[in-house]
Amino acid sequence: MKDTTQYDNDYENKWCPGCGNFGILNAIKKSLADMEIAPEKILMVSGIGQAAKTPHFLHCNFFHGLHGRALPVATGAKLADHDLTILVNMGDGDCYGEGGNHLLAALRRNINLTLLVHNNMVYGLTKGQASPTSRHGFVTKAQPQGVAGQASNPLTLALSQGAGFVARGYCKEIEHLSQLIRAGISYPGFSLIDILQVCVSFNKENTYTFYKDRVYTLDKEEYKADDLHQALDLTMEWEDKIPIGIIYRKDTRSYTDELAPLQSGPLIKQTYDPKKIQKAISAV
Amino acid sequence: MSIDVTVTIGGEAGQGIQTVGDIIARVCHKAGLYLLAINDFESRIRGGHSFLQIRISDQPVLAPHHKIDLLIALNAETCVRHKKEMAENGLVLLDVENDAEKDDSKENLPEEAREKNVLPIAFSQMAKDAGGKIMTNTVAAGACLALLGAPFSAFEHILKTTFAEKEKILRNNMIAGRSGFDAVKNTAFAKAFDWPSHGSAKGKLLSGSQALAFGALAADCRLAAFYPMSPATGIMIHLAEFMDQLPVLVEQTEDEISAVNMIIGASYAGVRALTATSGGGFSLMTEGLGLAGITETPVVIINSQRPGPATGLPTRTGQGDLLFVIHASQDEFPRFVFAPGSVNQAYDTMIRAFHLSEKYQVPAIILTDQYFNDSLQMTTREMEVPTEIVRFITTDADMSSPSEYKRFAVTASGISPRALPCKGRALVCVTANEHDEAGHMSETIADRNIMVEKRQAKIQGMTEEMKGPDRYHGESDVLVVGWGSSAGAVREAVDQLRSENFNIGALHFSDLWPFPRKKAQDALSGCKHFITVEQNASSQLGRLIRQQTGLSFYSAILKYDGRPFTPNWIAEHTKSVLEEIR
Repeated sequence: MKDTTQYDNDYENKWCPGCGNFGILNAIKKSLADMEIAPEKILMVSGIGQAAKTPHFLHCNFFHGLHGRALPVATGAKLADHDLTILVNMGDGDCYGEGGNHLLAALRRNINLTLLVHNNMVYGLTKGQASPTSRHGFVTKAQPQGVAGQASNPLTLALSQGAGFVARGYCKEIEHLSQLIRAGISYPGFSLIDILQVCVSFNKENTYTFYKDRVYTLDKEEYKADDLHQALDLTMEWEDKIPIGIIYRKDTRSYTDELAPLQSGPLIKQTYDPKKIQKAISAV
Repeated sequence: MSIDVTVTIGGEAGQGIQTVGDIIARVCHKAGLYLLAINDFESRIRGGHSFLQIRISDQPVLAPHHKIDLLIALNAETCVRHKKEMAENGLVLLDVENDAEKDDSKENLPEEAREKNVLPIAFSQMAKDAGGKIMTNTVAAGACLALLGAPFSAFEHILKTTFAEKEKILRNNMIAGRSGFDAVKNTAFAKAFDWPSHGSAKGKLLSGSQALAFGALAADCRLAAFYPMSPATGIMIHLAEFMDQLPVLVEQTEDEISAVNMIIGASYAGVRALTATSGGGFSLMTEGLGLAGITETPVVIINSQRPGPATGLPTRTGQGDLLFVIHASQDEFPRFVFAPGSVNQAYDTMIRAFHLSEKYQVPAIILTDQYFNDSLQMTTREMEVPTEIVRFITTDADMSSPSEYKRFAVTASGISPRALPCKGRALVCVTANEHDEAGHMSETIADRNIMVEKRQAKIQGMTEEMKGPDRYHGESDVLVVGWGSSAGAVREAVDQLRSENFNIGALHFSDLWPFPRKKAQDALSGCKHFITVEQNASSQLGRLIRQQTGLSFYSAILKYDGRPFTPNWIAEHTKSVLEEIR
């Protein structure tokens, strides 16, 4: 077991006792320790919400930005310096609600970012409203008659958009989740890891008990995660059994490998050449 | 100036107005003439009415003229639309089928265009005869140049460079050009002039968009993220032309919100980054602007204005966003706002904006507009690229203890040493929440006050960086005061009024925020009255001056029809005000 304390900091944690986010935080630390990525070599980017506070509780570089906008910030940082290892932390409201268009674009670009969605199917920071992944009929103070619409299925959506790495983890299965995160960081394109996260304060339905009875781990020997149709079927399993693991992975090239100006190295490492610029401008 | 001719080419979108204009502009430019061209078009790809207007002179010209000397009408509607703008001895060439059987060539003209100064010329028929209707533009350009008195060789030269690698196409275009040229051989045109026999180009001919793009390159901008929106898109297109030779990436985003957040991410990671949009897109970017504000991330945002609100007039010009961009986003934080008045100033402003944005770690906003971005202007000055770019970035080597680095450390100037993430042991922690010096969220009274005061502290240094208004006959009794793209039109208006013995000068503001209060007061203190000239409905600069200096404008000359200023329009309106003052 590698030392995870190097990622600890003394900033006061602000989550509720028993929050599923603690398991995710520990899994992140474990995967970084296992991969031997030093704290100063990590960039965490997040949006707004309880999940988006994650970077504050880690010893690392971070950009804690606006609600829904973590992916554009992370994309900008990656385009500027594609040598960076960037993890993005968002919640379900943050990523699938406010930032939905950015998720679609990130999937399309297939840029090498690892996105961890802390999916607790409820808004925690704003105290308990329905989220895009709340089930039909889910009752909250803002939806007293229950959610009238249907829950979105982000993993099916991602696969339908050509995603190359789609996985689901569970906040209680820390070792398993840390392996998923490792696989995501190692993947050359965009990786989406949706994490079943328990909100002990505002979601009384999707509890630890709820998941204990349903969650099962995909067997790596039996399930190869390379068949899109099989993967799509798995993303639609929910009522009785919920699979966790890598649901789909395909070979890919990162977006940054496709862009001409990045082929001579990261933008930040290229040199300012006034003579060349002068020549280029004068030639017009 | 002995030569001052305005040529307008009008027709439907898709008829090739641009091509005719390009040929004429290039021939004049190559011959050593000065010119300025404006583009007027509707928000549609085909049909409607568009025109391109070129003002040609032997002296530098700074604005479009209000009268047309020569109108090339590719359809009859163009004659009707521009009838009122025709100069006294102006001539109209209208593309119609010529029927030689008719005794009077005027009978070939459609009824609505039967004016004495309208000449029917069978441009498209001549083009067909030369090999294809597509060459109508070449025929029209030939006729226009012949009337202006250009030597055919000058025209020939440009055709040769245009179609250098396509021999057959060149041959046909030469025939087409010749027939257009010869068709008006016996037509007298009052404004024909003697062409410089061995002229050479007096400078570079470029659009405002190009000048902005060049400035961004010279400023070492590495990432330009944008969502397409008129009239800003052209800036990004011009930048993209350099992607195969310079370290610059142009990234089209899913929306403007993404564009602004992306450049913030890129800048945080260490490269200079830009976005360009118009008012509607800027509205979407306002939350991101605040993010740049609270995270103290340098970014440059160009807002190329068009009339609004909402969609407004997508392809027209305006200056209605000044107070908006100064105040955009909730709460308060320092920012720069610039509004260049010429292509040279736009180039310089880009370089300055990137520099100052990084020096003070604040967003910089550049206001231009459709007239400025889409018009072609000449610059006789070399666009110099800075030999060095100062980045104001700190590294572990500059720190006694990198592990204790604090991104928002309090300093007297308000500027904290800025390190980059993943470049050393110093951790760069940044949040959109109010925070402590280390970049962690904080809700304490002390941290809130410290951070507000730290950000606001930058304003003093920023204000000192701001230039006062450019003064033109600034000692005069009455001053006309404008900002941004109207600089040229205002200056020519002043020339016109001074030639009529009015005691008048002008001030032009390019640095608008933080407002150069003292310099503005000094420039305004000597005049008896000042009159603002702006393309909005409430004199936003006038209100800003009053707010910042306590000085009030006597009157405001305002135009919000979406069309550019002409010097004559400003001069005439100024005269009415001057009469009132008397």
